Amino acid sequence: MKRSILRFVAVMTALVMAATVTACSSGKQSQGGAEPNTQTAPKKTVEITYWHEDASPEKTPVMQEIIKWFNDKEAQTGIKIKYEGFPSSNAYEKFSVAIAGGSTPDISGVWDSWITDFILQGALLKIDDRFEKWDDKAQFDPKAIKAFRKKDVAAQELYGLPFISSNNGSVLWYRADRFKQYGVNPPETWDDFFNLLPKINFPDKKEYAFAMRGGKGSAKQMLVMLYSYSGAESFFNDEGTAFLRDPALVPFLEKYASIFNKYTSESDLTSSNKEMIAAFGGGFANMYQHNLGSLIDNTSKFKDGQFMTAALPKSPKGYRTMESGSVNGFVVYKNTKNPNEAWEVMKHLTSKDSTAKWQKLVGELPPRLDVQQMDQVKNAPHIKSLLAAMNDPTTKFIDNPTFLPEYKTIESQILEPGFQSVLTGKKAAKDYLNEAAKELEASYKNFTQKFGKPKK
Amino acid sequence: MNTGALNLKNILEKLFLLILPLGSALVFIITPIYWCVNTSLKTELAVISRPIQYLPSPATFENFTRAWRNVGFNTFFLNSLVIATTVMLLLVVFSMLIAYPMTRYKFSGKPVIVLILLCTQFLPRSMMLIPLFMTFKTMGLINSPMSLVLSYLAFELPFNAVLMIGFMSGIPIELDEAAMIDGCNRLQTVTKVLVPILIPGIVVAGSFAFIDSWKEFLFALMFINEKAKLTIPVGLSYMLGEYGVNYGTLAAGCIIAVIPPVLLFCYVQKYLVTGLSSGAVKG
Repeated sequence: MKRSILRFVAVMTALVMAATVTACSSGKQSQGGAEPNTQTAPKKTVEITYWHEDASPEKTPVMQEIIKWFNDKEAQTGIKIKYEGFPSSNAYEKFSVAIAGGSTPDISGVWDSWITDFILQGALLKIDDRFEKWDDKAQFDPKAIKAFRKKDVAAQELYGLPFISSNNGSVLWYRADRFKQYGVNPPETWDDFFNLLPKINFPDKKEYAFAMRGGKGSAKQMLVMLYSYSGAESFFNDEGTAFLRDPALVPFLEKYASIFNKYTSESDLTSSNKEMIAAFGGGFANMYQHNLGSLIDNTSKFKDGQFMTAALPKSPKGYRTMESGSVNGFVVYKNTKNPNEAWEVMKHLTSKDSTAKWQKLVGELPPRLDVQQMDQVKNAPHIKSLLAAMNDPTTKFIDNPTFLPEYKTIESQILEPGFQSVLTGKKAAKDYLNEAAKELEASYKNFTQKFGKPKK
Repeated sequence: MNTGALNLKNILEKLFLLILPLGSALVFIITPIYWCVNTSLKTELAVISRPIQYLPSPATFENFTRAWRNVGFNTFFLNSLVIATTVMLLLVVFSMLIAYPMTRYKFSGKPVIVLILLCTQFLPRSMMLIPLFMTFKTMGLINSPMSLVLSYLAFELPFNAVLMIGFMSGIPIELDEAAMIDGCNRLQTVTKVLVPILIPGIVVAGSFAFIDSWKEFLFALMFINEKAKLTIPVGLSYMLGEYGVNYGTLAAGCIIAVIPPVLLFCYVQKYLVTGLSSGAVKG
């Protein structure tokens, strides 16, 4: 009896082992793509793993081409980049788990809002010394470098380099062809903005004046509107009071919320940026507010001249306040075993050729001054209006408080659902602004007690 | 007159008790599938343009080609298939290994074991993410499909083992004894007597394991880095850019992704119904 039990268990175990081997071999098969490279490469070749934070069918091939330029010189540099791309929708979670698990790549792309978080977790390598010694240092827009430094709120040390969309304050994207047809112009002031809406709103034709972002990420758009109207010069004043306490913002937010479902589609209540951009691309809206990242989509859906951008209206105070320092870029991780080689990779990724290639795809504002002087940038109509606004000496810049450790939570649990409540009339604008200010001020107070006041 | 009234009553009964409820349920289920198929057969411009096309005109398979070749669904599909099949096979074997002693031997603590197995189901996967990540990192299994096989197996096994215990306990032990009297050893009793009777249960456990492994997203995203090793659900998310969505390709990817589970269900449907009902009333 016992013997037959043992035989039964032995046979079952053998079956399991066989199946496991199958699984392992399948794994090895798919790993095979990387192994031969390691074997065929010269012995001294150092492989630097690069994680792309916004892999997509449009962007991946371009990034892979930029990487290929570098890998083609492997014999001279002794460095090879290994590309691993992740979809932007889940990249932050992926990167966070990798940091928590101590399994980060050597270098990666990062979105603006991640950087402070990663710095505070001690995941990133300082690159001040290396950057100071780099010949290309002077080619970087000092505003973009400063914006990256500000991500290290306490010491303002440099933990990465900007790649694209530095200072890419939001703009109004509008249907130039329809504006011409309706005989209207983009708004210069906030009164113009609200007066324009009825003239370009045709709900019967499912053609709304404006596409609003009321769902995921709505706080980004809403805050930019508030910055622009308020003329605020900083998010928190010296006493730690948020600009949201400004009484002038209450009637503005009430008015802005009142356009929902009148000059916008009702479905905008749950729109993320993707739906908002798709509404414009599908011809359902004549105007929306977003950064230059919309260009790829709009270019693919419209002919030249069908759409255009305009700077956001000036504050009633007579000047423009723009969001500063949105600095997506590259960072080197502290865990890297090859910091020098990782720095060489970063130099390549932020070089003139790489930046120009990427800028041509995404259409955003490059942080490199030499690329800003290229025809593809300076002659691009959608960038002209933004640059004109940015270079206006009266323009003020305001930093988003993304450095606050609780910011993401406040954004998703207070700012976004609260804004939806204001849109649907379930919450008064005044209550919403006070509640948001209270949460942000408390978070700011905790932060300053621990790290001191952020440097200006 | 009476016959006419009876006929009318029958028609009304059929209408309100059969046609309307089933029809409504069918519309509710079919509409998203129709919309997905319709979108997958449109060009990207047709997807977003007005007026909305309720039938693609002209229909194009461009999205399927793009998803399969350019986005890499051929690789994702194969990876998912290998992983889900491996998990399914291992899980059937392991759940039988648990169910056999639980139903064929007498020992103390059986209810506690079943309780422990059930309690593991209360743990959300996200809670185990970091510990599993650290474990697999130590084992050198990050970026290996084995990490997915092991984690899926760990999460699927308890539930399926309990299911298998239910199925196996429904088979009288006298059958084993009769087989042994006829000369079978214990392994032969299992393979020649129990397994044929257990087929509905095996199909149920295997189908659950396959489908859960096929659609799992979180672990697949976290444990795998290289695109060549990704599975279908993570592959689908590549269609969601930061600012835009390739709706046509995404829809085509979804259609490709549901084909294996649908085919599997078509094939195992008869076993599945028998298996679920027998597991429900016996044991």
